[in-house]
Amino acid sequence: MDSYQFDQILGLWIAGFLTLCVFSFLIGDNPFYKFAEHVYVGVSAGYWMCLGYWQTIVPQVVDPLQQGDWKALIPLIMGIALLFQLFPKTAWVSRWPLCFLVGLYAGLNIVYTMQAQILEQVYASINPLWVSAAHPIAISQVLVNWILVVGLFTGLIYFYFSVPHKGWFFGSSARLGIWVLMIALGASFGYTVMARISLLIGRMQFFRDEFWPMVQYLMGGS
Amino acid sequence: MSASPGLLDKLLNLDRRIIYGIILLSVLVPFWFPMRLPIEATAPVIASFKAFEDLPEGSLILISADYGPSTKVELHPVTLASGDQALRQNKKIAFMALWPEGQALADEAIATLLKMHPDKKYGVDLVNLGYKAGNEAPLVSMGLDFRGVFPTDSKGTPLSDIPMLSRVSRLDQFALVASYSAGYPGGIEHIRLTATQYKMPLLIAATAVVTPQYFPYYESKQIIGLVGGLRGAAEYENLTGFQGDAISGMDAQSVAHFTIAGLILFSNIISFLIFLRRRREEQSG
Repeated sequence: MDSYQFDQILGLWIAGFLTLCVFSFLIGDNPFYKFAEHVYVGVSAGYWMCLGYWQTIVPQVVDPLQQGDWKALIPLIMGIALLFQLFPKTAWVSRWPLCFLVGLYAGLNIVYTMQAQILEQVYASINPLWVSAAHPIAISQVLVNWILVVGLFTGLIYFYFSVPHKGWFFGSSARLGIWVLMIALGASFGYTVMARISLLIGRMQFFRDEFWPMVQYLMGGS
Repeated sequence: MSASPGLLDKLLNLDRRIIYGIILLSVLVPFWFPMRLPIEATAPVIASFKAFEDLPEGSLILISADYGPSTKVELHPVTLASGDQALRQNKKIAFMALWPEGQALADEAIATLLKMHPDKKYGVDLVNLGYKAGNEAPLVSMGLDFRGVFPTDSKGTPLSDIPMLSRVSRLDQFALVASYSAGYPGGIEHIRLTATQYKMPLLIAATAVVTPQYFPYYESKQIIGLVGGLRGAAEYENLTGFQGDAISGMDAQSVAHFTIAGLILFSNIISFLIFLRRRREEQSG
């Protein structure tokens, strides 16, 4: 049997108590849930503040300045300028660092998103739709390719709003596009259910594998 | 149908707490009575397993622990199973994190793995490079100047003093990058930069909520493997033979899914019966 230190026992009791407090919301709003909610918000804020200081400000600003790297003053000044947003009269000062941030992230994301999430995906949607000497693929793969191309095409037609979704071409394609979207959303919902149940399983595993052995230890059992 | 109208209405408006109770029971019962339901590995998980398996001995693997305690149940089993698999085959693992909590979870994983492999040593077989702030910014810089982004490990030891990384100065010296991702920043950023920009072989383990968004990247071969949610983690544990938490949670997951599907079916049948009753009442005036 494992032996436990006082801080481990205390930590497990706090974790167990807070888990039950949060789950109590399923019965209805109550003071225990409110308590857990406030503790979570407070601890998170404190944690992020410490983390921001030790992981960002110290290595990026304090350490370089101590080593005489004055370039670190630039992010320091821009960071302080962001705080001017708190005062209406000087809020304009914060626009400069905001402009820098927007420009930086737009510049980073436009290029990489275009390459990875648009061009590569377009290439991947260009597939052979029949078996030929140039493309000796299995019939099952041909079927998959047809599903991909038809699904992509009809899905796009559904989101094409410049033409009414009527008639044999646009009407039928948009209707099929809705089916494709519904199937995709159904699959996505299934995965979401799995994720939520996994979280519940995680807490149950905590009670079974961590909390209960500690209780047994305290009771002197095996 | 002879069910009374009052009963049908009561069933359709069942107190949600009863449904929560049923779901809770469906999760708890398999913990007491394990059923050992079969777990068949799917192609994306087999591909992930092979990505680790096929690397030669001594290969360097970079694992990005981009998750926190809230998603530990889904992703930590993959971290441990793949770490165990790599160490058994004398491959070396460097952990990094785009999530601040990821650094602590990587430390926890390293402690567990070292306990399981007493012959392995920190710095020689495993290392934690720690968390890097800036979301995708470290990934951009990492491909250009790896040592500039990670001059030390998370304990402050310079890379030149860490045996397994003493000669590493570029990202492409790693044989494989794996992002275990619960959201932003994580898998998508690694796809954009690590895989697409820097052409590194990348595999992703994701929480179930975000798994569907990664399938197009697996199909387009931008990532070489995908492990989705607790189910994917259980498949991975099954392939590696690792006795972890994912497999033990799968019975509960399966029973809970079966229960939810049953409840959806049941409520639809009730709705249909109420619809039939109303139509009959309208016809009879």
